[in-house]
Amino acid sequence: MQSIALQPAVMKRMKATDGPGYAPGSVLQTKCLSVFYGEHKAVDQVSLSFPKHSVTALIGPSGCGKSTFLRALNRMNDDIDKCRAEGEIYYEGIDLHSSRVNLHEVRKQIGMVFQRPVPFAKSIFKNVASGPMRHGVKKQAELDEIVEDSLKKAALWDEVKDQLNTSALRLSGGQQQRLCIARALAMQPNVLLLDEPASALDPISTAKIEELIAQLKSDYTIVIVTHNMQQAARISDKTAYFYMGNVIEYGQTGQIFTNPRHEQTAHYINGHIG
Amino acid sequence: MTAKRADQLATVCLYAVVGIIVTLLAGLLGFVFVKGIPQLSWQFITSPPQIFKEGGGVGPQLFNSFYLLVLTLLISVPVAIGAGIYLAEYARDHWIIRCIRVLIEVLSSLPSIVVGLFGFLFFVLYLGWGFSILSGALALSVFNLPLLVRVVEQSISNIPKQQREAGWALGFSKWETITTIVLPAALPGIVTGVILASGRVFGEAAALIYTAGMSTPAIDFTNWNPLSPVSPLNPFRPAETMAVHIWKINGEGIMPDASAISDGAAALLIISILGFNLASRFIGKLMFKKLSAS
Amino acid sequence: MAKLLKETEHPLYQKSTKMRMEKAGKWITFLSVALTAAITAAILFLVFSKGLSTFIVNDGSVKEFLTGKEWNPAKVSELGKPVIGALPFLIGSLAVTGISAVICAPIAIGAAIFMSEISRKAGKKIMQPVIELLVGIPSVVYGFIGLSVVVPILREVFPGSGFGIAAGTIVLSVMILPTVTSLSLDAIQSVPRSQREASLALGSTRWQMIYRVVLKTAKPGLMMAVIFGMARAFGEALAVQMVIGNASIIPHSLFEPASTLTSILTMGMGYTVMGQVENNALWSLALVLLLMSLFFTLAVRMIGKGRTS
Repeated sequence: MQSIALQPAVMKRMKATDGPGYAPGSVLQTKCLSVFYGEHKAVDQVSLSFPKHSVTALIGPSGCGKSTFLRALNRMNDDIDKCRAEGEIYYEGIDLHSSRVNLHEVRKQIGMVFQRPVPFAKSIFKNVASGPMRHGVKKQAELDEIVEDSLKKAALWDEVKDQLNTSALRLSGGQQQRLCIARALAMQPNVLLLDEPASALDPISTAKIEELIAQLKSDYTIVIVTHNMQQAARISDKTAYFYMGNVIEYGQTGQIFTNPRHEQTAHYINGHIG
Repeated sequence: MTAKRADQLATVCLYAVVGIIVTLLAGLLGFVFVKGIPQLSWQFITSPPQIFKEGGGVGPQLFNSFYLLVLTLLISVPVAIGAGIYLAEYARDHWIIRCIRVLIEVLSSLPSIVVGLFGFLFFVLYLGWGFSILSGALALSVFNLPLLVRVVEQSISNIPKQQREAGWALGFSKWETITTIVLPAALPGIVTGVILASGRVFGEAAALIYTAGMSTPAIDFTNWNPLSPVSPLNPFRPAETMAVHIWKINGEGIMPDASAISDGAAALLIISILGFNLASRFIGKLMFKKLSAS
Repeated sequence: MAKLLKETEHPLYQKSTKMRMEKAGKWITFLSVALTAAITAAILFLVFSKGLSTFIVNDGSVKEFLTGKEWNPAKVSELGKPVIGALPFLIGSLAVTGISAVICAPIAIGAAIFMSEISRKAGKKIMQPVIELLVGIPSVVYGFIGLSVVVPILREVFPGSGFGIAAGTIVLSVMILPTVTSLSLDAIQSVPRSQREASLALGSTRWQMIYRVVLKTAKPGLMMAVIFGMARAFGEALAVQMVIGNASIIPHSLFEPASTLTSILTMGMGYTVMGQVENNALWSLALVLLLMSLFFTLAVRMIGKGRTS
């Protein structure tokens, strides 16, 4: 019975793929996604898709809605008062706005790392292990393995393997941010949302994070918001330029940076809007 | 008078005010300690009071004070943590919540004697528990709750929003985020606040005279069965605390050494409260250090 | 159809225990809040119903209660009403509260100015711990010291027994001093630095700056601090009861025995039987106490609102 009830939603889903920006093989895609803060429309009917195992950079001036859009993708805006989203977000073909969708599971599969490193006031081990523990991993051996694996993937293992039980607050800013990435990876997500992950870090830590993103690309679909043009050019495959809540231009990163179709994009990339 | 002279005069006055306050504290503590500490002896803090002759102690009162404090904390801390969590994390701006906040504020400003009379009416008479430790502990919990709720709410609100978002982004429910991330981080603040509130509870008397009562029946410190009427743990026996004892013997004490006993009891009370103050600082700092360093 | 069925097995559609825990947690914590609020409501209800029954059940007169000078609820007047003149207690309570606020306010505000404007270092190092220690001293200890120090001194210096409003006032003003000081300090410290600097830049002396800028801006906060102290003084029972002398008459001077609402309540409640008029009359006093504490809370809120808007 349930399967029949599902049908209209599925029909809708098929149609959604006809929208602009659709690319076959995308893990995550939005269709006419709008986000409102009270009366203010922060994101205006954005349709984008994020191909599997690629890095998509969202660029644009401050307040253009790129961070709000990113946070809408794993429904982080749900918890903000007076903030609401309209339109559809499809993850593996499922509309994340559906009431039947388990929000906690959404965030487990679509991980997020924030602008400032936010380690918990716990040990390094517990920072990484608490996610899997809360999602039902009980065995110590299994946890050990997940922690080691995640820290290795986040290129932090060698630096912290001897001090797993010390407080995460003791780490440097760059290490903390990689710890946060490890923490997100420990959940074994498919998609990683990165909200200006290097903007609060020094150049060396930034380089490490960028290197890391390049490595993670082979296993994860990554969406990154960044203010740093060079960073976007260096690490991303696709780029979307946001302005006033709209996507002005979307395409291959190389094309956007060398040969933008819109004058406005060119202006921004050359540093005239900011 | 020129502006400059006025400025100098004012400065002198302010220094004088500070001098008065410091002297006042020194005088108060000096009085209590100079007169009280000589009274303190092992015999004094362990033996029961005498009604008609001298040489009585405050052993049962001291025990009652701590026992009541422990029960009060057992009752009020969980409720306060729950209420503090709700107000800090879940409460939205709604008229019901505003009403509740006003009510809690009203409760915190109620005179403790009114709380005591409520306890008398409700626990002692209506529920029929009589003058008992349980009635006293519940009255003290009512007295203690609003302050604790504020402490918990504030400690939790001080934890940055980003910590919560980081939890949510891992797929934690709000509840898991609160219990596994926010609450542990807020713990040093909560513990400090609880210990400070303990000092207030420990010295409170007005809420107790009509709930826990003003008498201590003969109790047997070797009998730890809470159901036995002579056991110190029996929650249904009346129990006079140190603070109530000081008040009582100054009003109607007929033992010849009433004033010496009050001196000793007052010193003991102040020392305990100083202990709570020091402990709250020390433990708060220690916990914070542990959280951020180990 | 087979494909559709598979869709429902996608992990995103799986219900987890998290959702149930989320609901349970929210409810449990809400119940704690509701319990706290319900207790307050119960206290208000009980005190109101008990306190009003003097006038409703026992036919007491409100006018007599507020203006009568004789308190003897067991007695019945010529009009057939209980003799419940509570004026002596009202005057006693208002007198000790008012005078102790007048004594305490300048000292407390002066100390707060010192801690914030004159010497922040000494304020933090010396005054902060002093204030914290004073806050910690229980009221019975204040009462006890009042009884063994203040009353004998007053007895020596002034005619009378030493018990009375003066002794009560002294004890209370010391008792509320730390509270008023720390609240005043909060009020003064919330005055922005820039305003102070602007005033000093215009060539004011420090005192002119304090007087014209800091105290003026902090005024609502300082008023709140003093009212808070008054609320504490008005509601304090044992410390006052120990030194005021407990005579149910209107005293002719500050050095004669008097009574307050709280002292009569403390003394009388144990000697009356629930439900009788003597007892109900005491509850009426408790009701006055409650109404006054509501009034003080309301006053603080009003001033606080005026400040933020």
